[in-house]
Amino acid sequence: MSRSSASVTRRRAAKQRRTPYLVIAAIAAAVLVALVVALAAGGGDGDDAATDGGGADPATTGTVTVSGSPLPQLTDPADDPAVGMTLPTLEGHDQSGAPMTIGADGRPTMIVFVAHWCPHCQREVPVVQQWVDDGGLPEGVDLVSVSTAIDASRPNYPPDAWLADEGWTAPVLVDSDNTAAQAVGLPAYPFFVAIDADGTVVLRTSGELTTDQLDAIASTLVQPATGG
Amino acid sequence: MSLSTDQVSLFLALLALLAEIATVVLVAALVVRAARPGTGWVAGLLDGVRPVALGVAAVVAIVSMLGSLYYSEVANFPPCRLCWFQRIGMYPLAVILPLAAWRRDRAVRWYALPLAVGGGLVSLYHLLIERYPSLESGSCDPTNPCSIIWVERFGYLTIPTMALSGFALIAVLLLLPEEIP
Repeated sequence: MSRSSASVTRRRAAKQRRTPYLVIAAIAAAVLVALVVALAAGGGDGDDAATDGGGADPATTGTVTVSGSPLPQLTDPADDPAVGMTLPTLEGHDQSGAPMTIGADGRPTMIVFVAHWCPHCQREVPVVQQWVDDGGLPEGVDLVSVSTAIDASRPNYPPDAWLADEGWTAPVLVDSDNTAAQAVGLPAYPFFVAIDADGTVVLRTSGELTTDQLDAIASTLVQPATGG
Repeated sequence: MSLSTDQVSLFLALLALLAEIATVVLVAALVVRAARPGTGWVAGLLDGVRPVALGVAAVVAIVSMLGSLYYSEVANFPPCRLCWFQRIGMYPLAVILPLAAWRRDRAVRWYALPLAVGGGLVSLYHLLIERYPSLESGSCDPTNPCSIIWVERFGYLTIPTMALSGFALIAVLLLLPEEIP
């Protein structure tokens, strides 16, 4: 082997020894830049606001008083033992703090339970609102809602801001600690309960509903009224 | 001074972004190397990365594990079912990769790659569920559905996306070919 090719090999070997250090230096520099950017940009805002809000904001804090027997948890909407039972009366306040009651009030009612952090609720709320805006809710049937499982540490908080953004028009009962949700046997969000004018449960179901399914529920509430 | 969750999330998201860039560059280098052997910059890059590949993979696994522990133990984001499956993939890597790097044992790929690939597939499924919650079910489990997006940076970097970035970089680093004499 000639002297020049030996020196080329040596130089290549030296270069190879150096490149790993360059790789490590590049990684370290990039991580350092990431850290500096995070420190400079984060600022420590954001999540403090939720806890600092403090006090008892009626839109996010409210315990519902339940009178009457609670409904069993829903397992199969097609064979629901709660159908025919009387919905326990749910007494609490709305997002502004004004007293609000859900129960037998002489008008058939659709009740929708939503949790602000639940992606299915986030998708269902605009569907229901569009249905209402398009006149889907029959004359004589009420739609009310329950804002439940409110948790400042979870996404899409606070629920009142979210519902306002969606143009939500139904009254909202605040059930921050799930008392009402448990009393109606809620298995998952979103959750729908339909009661007739006497407060008797006609139907319960959970999950995202289409406007056709909303129509179907509403029509079951209308028929007894026109029939009798 | 303590770091806010926002700051830590931004830092972790930037690291995930770096991991993604590194993964793309390494995959591109491997493709070029296969198509046009002897391309100068590719050989130089792979020569430079190869000796530190196990060490870097070990650091990625450890940082990923610390990031997930930060979210569950400090930020109090409860891990969902799929988060636990990804932890099953990542946490062992944070133990065996540093040991392999210390012992310069490249045969660790036989044990580490299945964990990285398996974990990465779960991450992929998890981030699909975040985008399309109906893939999981039609409703939200009242406790802790996997479709909740706890963190989102740059419009796409959620926690499972960060995990996928880590798994992918680890897998590519483990797959780097042996040096050709």
